[in-house]
Amino acid sequence: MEYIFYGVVAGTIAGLMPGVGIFATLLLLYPWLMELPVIDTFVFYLALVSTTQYVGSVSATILGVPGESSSLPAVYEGNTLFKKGEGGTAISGAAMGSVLGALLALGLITIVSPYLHYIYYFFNTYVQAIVLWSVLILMTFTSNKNILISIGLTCLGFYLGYIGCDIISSFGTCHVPIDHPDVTTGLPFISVVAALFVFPQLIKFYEPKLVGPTDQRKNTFFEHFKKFYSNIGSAVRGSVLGFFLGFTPGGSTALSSNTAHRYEVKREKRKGTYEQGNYRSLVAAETANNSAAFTTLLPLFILGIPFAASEALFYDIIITKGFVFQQNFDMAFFMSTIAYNLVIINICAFLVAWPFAKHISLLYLIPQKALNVFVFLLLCYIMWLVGSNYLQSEYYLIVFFLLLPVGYLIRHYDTMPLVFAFILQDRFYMNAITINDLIGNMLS
Amino acid sequence: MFKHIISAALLVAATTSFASAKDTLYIVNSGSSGGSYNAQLQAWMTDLDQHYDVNFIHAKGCAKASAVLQKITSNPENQAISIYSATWDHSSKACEFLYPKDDTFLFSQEKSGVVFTMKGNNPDFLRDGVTFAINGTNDKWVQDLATANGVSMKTVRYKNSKGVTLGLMNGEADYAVINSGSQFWKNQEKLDGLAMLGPKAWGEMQSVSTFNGRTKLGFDNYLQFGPGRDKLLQTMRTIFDDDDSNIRKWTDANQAWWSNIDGDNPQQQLNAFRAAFPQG
Repeated sequence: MEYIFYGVVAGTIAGLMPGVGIFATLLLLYPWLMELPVIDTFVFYLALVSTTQYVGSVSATILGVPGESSSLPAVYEGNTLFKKGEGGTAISGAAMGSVLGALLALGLITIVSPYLHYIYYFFNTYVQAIVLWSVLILMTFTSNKNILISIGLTCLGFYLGYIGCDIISSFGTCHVPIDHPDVTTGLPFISVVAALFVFPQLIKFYEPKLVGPTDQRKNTFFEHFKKFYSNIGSAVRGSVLGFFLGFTPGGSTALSSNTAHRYEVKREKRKGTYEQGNYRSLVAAETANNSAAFTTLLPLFILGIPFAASEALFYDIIITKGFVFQQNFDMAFFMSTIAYNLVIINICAFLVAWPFAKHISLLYLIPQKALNVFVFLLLCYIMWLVGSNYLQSEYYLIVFFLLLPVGYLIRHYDTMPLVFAFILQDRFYMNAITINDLIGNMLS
Repeated sequence: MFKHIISAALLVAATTSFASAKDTLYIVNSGSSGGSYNAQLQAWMTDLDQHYDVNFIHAKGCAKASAVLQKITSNPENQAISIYSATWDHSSKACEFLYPKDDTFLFSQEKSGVVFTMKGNNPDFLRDGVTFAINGTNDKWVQDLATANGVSMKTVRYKNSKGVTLGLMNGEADYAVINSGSQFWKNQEKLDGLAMLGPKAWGEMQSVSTFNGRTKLGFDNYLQFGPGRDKLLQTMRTIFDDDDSNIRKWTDANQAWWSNIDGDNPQQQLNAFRAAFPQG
């Protein structure tokens, strides 16, 4: 239970601070997470992800700040409602929709979970290749407007992952740019990702401004609930859309919330009832957002393939503890660790996000620039600390600082293809070797 | 009153410093985080925690483990243990530091791999054109088996023994061979054991030598670096002899697995390893 609490607190901060987000929060807590048992790490992560979704919509509604791209509909509709004095209705609708979305997604996942172990057998080498390459291609094509930039980032990710000594065959074959024992261990995951993913996000600096009237209409809980219930159709539509679109790699929650939002806007326009600050469109988007937040975890849990940077970091933390996703994740683990805790987490996150809304503006008294500097310094300290676990503190910091200029140069681009290629380079490599053997055997 | 507080504080400080006066021991996991090296070293970490301040370091692969251990031993006061696998390339320069030597070898563990197939498959694996799922250097072993029996065999390479087992289950190969049997023992209800890689039979499974195969007994060599070698070995032996210790439970759960921790002559074990797997 205490790890749910920690996750909710961390998720609240991550949801509020632009540029911090889930990934940076995980990174900043990396040394602590490495000490936790596997199940507590799972619980913490789920609480962090859930709460971020809830709180992100609160800051989007009140401040007009999209903590993550999935909160854009909340800015468009929620912030408009806030300016009209309907901030409470917007926040309650988003919060209740989020609960419904999460629980419906959980129900759907629970229905399919008894069949999870069949998936291992279905995912033979060819299917794994299709999944890996589809995800990579989709990420490459959707992450940036300029496809050549995405391809370049992907190649850079593969190259960085290639550095070090071959740990697959244990032959000790090395690909190192300089002859130094530290380099044989490969480039440290957190140094690369902190420099090429977190740092570019930090330097995308902006100041949020509190807008809208301070006088907001006050409703009772029953009135909020009644309003939500009378519009529950939009929440159900959002849940279903979010559940399926959550499987889209790379931008699952953003894609889900924005698609659900657009669909609902279209419906409203057709009925002639749409104007900006539309409650149903907001609820549909937020429901889809939370629904997708859970389905996007399924490929990670079942196949060990992360679809987002934060999932990749979580994956790294969990496998370092000796957990094997394709092996240790089964129905019993799902029911005892995931499903049970998700219900509690959602209730906790719901109870935090809603009442927290009226205090939110206080947090923005901290200047964003100061916060970013603090986060950067903390990142340096984390590099040092994590590196010390491997007796490689200097190496971790040197790699981080050497890659910072690259991070600066690519700050305007989505670097997720780079992170994906870097993390899964050995999976791609091994998969290619196995396929080569299979095809060679077929032809001989 | 003030005197009592000072006395109590001094007592606490003294006991705390006494309690924390344990030697530091680095345990370097040279295997994967999901593999048997990690499982047994984690068990040792828990058991040794009462005797040492244990620092557990993941350093997957012999090159990485070598690099990490060289760093640890650059301070001659540091103590560390790790495992060297017989399946590694013994001529690799990157792994040279880890190859067992007189002053680092602690004891060995022997284990036998398994040749297996899916239940219901043809158990005769000495046929022309059959495909073996392999990892590591077992492609050479399969080719030797094929040559010795005058047939041709094909191989499909996977990352590790889990990949090999799943590849067989997915129908990508007819047979599988793994050096460490844990994946086979875990999935026994679906799999059919055909031969043991080692020289000894196990249950109904004969040694591969009866099929003209080259026997291949797996060695996991425990290595120790730095001072305090005798004390550490004695502590590990005491722990291992305790049926309730984590490492003992882990070892007992494995089949075709023999630990030489209580062996009288470690030098003999080391010589046997060197003879079987000479450094290139």
